[in-house]
This record gives sequence, C-alpha cells and structure tokens, in this order.
Amino acid sequence: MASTDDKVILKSSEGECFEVDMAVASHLQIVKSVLEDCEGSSDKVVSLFIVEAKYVAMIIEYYKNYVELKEKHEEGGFEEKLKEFEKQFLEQIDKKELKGLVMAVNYLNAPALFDVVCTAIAKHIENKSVEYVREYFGIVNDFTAEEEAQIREEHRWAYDGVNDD
Amino acid sequence: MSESCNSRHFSWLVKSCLPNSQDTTNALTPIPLHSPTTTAPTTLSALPDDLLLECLSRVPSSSLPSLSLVCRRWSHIVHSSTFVSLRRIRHFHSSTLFALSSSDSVLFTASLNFKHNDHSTTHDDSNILGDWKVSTFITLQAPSLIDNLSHARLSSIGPRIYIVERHGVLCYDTWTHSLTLRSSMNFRRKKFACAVVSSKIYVAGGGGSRAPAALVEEYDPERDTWSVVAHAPRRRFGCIGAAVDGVFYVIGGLKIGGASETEVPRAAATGTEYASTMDLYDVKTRAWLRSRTVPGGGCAVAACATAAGFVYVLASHAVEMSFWRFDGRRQNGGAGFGEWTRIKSPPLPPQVRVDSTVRFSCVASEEKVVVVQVNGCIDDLLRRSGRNRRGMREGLVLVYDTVGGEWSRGPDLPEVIRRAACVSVEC
Repeated sequence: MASTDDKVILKSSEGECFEVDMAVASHLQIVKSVLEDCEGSSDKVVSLFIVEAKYVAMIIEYYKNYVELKEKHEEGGFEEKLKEFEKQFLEQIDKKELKGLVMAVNYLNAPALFDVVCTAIAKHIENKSVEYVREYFGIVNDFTAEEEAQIREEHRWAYDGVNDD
Repeated sequence: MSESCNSRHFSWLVKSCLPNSQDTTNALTPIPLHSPTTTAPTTLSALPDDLLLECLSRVPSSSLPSLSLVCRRWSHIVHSSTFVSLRRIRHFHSSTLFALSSSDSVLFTASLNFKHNDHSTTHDDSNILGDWKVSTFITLQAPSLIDNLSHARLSSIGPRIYIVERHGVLCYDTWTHSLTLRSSMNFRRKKFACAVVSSKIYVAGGGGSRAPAALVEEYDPERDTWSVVAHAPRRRFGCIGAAVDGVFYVIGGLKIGGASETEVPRAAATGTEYASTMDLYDVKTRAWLRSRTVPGGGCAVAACATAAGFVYVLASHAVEMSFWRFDGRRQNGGAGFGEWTRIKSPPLPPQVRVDSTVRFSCVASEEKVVVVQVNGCIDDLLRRSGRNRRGMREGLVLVYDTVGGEWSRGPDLPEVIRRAACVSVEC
C-alpha cells in the first residue's frame, strides 16, 4: 500500500481504512510506538483490530481539531477553543458510545482525549442521586435489603438536594 | 498521565509490518483484557475496574459519599488506596482538617476545608476556605472508649478517621457520619506514636501496664487486625508519629530507662529526660534506619508529614519554641534526605512553651501545616507572667504555607470543641 511519508492508515475492526496525517496519529501513543518500531518500513498501515470504525472516526475527529486549533492559536487561547470544541464533540456522543469510546481511547493510549471522556463520565455522576447513577450505569444494586435500609438511614442527606435528571 | 499509561497492555495491537521481536511491549499475546468488541455489553457498568477508577476519580469530592452507596464494587473502589492516590496525582482530592472532641459520651466533630492552591490563586490569599463546620455529634455506642479524646491518636485513611486509644479503636466515616468499633491494639498503651503508611496504621512507644513501648504494631483496616511487626531500638513515652515516603517516624518523647515496666508512669510524672532523637522504621523492608537527632535539644511536641516529603516538628525547650522540617524524601537518590532546616516559628508570644497548660496539635496536608491550639489559654499564661496585654484565646489555628514560607491565622477552633484531637482527611 503506497502512502506519503506524513500519512498513516488506521484500520478499524471492520477493516475500514482511515488515512490520517502523522501529526494527528502521533497523538495515539500506541500508533506512534508501532510506527517507531518499524521505522524505515514503507508499509504504514496500523490495524486496530478491536476498535470499531465509529470510534476510530471520533478519535480522529477529536485530534484533527486538536492539531488544527493548536496551530491556529499558537499565541494563546488554544485551551479555551479546545474546551469549546470538546463541549460540541461530547454533545454528539450518547452514553453507550461513551463507554465504547473510553475503552477505545484507553486502548489507543491517547491521554488528552482519555481525560476528556473520563471527565465527561464523571460529570454524569456529579450531584446525582444514587438511583440515577445506578440506572445510568446499568448497575444492579447488590446491597441486601437490610443494608440498604441502614444505608438510607445513615445517608439521608445523600438522597436530598440532588439534581432531578 | 504518563504513569498510568505505562502499564497499559499493548498486546492487542497487531500491525501489518513485521513486529520487532525484541520489543516486548508488542508481544502478540491475544488476551483481550478490555476489548470493546461488538458483543460486549454496552452499558457503562461493564467498564473494567481500572477505567471505572479513572472515571470515578474525576468526580468532585462533594459527590463521593453517594458513590459508595451505588453498589459493593463501587464502594470498594472509592475506599481503595489507589483511588485516593489517583485523586492526589490528578489534584482532584480535597483536604479537610478534622477536630474531634468528646464530652459526656457524645462525639463532636468540626471540619475545615483547605483551599486548593492551584495556579489561579495567589499565595497571599487566605489559606483556608470558609469557617469551621461543627457537624455531628453522635451518641457513642462505647462511651468509655473516648472519655477524653485528647489522649487518643487520630489517623486517616481515605474518608475514614481511626481513633486509636488505649481502650480501643473507633472508626469514624466522614462520608456516612457513622461510628464503628474496631479491634483494640494488642497492647494497651497511652502516649504513643501513630502514623499511616500505605493505608496501614503503625503505632510505637507509649506506656502501659504491659510495657508495649518497644513493640511496633501494625493495623490492617481491611482485615481489622493488629499485629506486632518490629521491636523499636528505644522505648519512648509521649512520643509522636509521622510518616513520609514509606518511613514511620517515632519522634521524641521521654526516655524510658528502667527495665521495670512500673517505672514508666513515674518517669512521666517526674518529667525526667526528653529524648531528643527519632527512630525511623522502613515499613517496606521491615528495617530500622539510622536514628536521627531532633534539633533544639528539647521535646518534640508536635510533628507531622506532608505530601511534599517533609516532617515538620514543633519543638519546645527552656528558651523558646522552634519549628523545623526534616527532609524525608528518599526517592530519586534522596540527595537531601536527613537534613534539618529551621523555618519560621509560629507567631506565638515568646512566653508560650509546650507544657501542661498549653497544648498544640499539628497536622499537615499538601502544602499546608496547621498548628491547632487544643488546650490551655495563652491569655492566662501571659497574665501570670506579669503582662497585661490581651492574649489569644484558646483554639488558635495557625497555618503555615510551605511554599510561601509564611504563617497566617485560620478561623479559631469552635468553642464546643474542647481538648481536641486533630487529623487531616484527604479524599
């Protein structure tokens, strides 16, 4: 497969190929280390066997913007612009995708986006009732009825003053 | 970030070019630890522990108590030592100073939040956020245990405060505001040193009917067990404990000379000789390091450790009170390890000594060292010495900023908290 020097091809679990600038792909530590390992090789295809195409696309989108914004705002203001973009970026991801994304990002070892996604998940827990958190995460309450009653008694405050959603 | 990345499993990355056989990180062991395959459950509950830990550690402190109520797994995660250290690395944790006191079988707790010294705030801002919150008083299930908390030693592990006392151990959960009885030390001791290393509590020194002073005991909070782990090189009474970098410091106190156990209280009563040394126990290797001298030649009255790797000692002797720090950083070669530096003394009238009339407790958190006057009245002390100016009332809270090197005054300890024991809680 022929490709220019500053491009790399990422292959999703379905076999879909994404051509990406090296500047973008190098943010994925795992891709970076693979390419360093086979330096000199003309073959620049990295197979991400366990990452679905939609997550590859999301990750590329994030880092594409990251790189662009960084270039555009070299003199400052980068962090604010990035925050703005991150907000938009997260709005189009539903909670199921959030889980898949965090796994994918963790696997690809992309620190900046990993932090963004983990923080987004943490935001969903912030100031929410225990029931809400259980439902959101799909967690089955495994405390016994007695424990639950005791916990409720001790934690009455924890069930008050939480956001409704 | 880099710390957490190193441990990542690279095993599932298969590249189309030939793998470098010498590169072990790229070994082709197909063990999908967390593979987000299409067949995996799509709920967030299926996140593996390490990723869940990453997410939960980013939740603000105020929402943490309810996380422990979601399910057993979450409760376990948020109480783990990894969770606390992860929050510290990420600067997500918050520190709270707790002062506990008891009266007529009721436990009073007062808490004071430390302000984060992030980059947006300057050092001349107030060091402490808000005022004391006198939160709860609980009718104790075991009143005899803490009739007088001023003799108890407090240790905190995550959100839990362990009240270690001669007659027993209580665990106060600052999230749930519940108090539970824990196993007692093997040896009843009083005036001992106590500190936390790697989520375990260590005690040494002190006196008691069976002379436990030479024995170091370790408490495992998860298993609720005490065990003897070492014999101390010296027997000390009234010593103070601190911990930095895996070392348990047993500081100062009175020398216990006689072989007979009964001499302990007598030595204390006659106030004989202060031990101007400290013993260093390396918890990991279970070995004693070379003992060090405590400067000033007096008694170390309060000692504490900060995350920055220093032990701070408030020393008092015949002429004055002095404040010192000991470099306890052993990592990265430990170039400065073992060095004492005298630092600015707390702004107290020169008449103040540490004797039976005025007592201080000293706790540290990150960049702050807080000296709390837990007993005695400086005003009285000044009057007695012939001065007539207005002294500072009981409950003085003095905050030392270890970065700026300056002292400032925090809000006084609330009236209701008398003869308090103090501890800093990080979570």
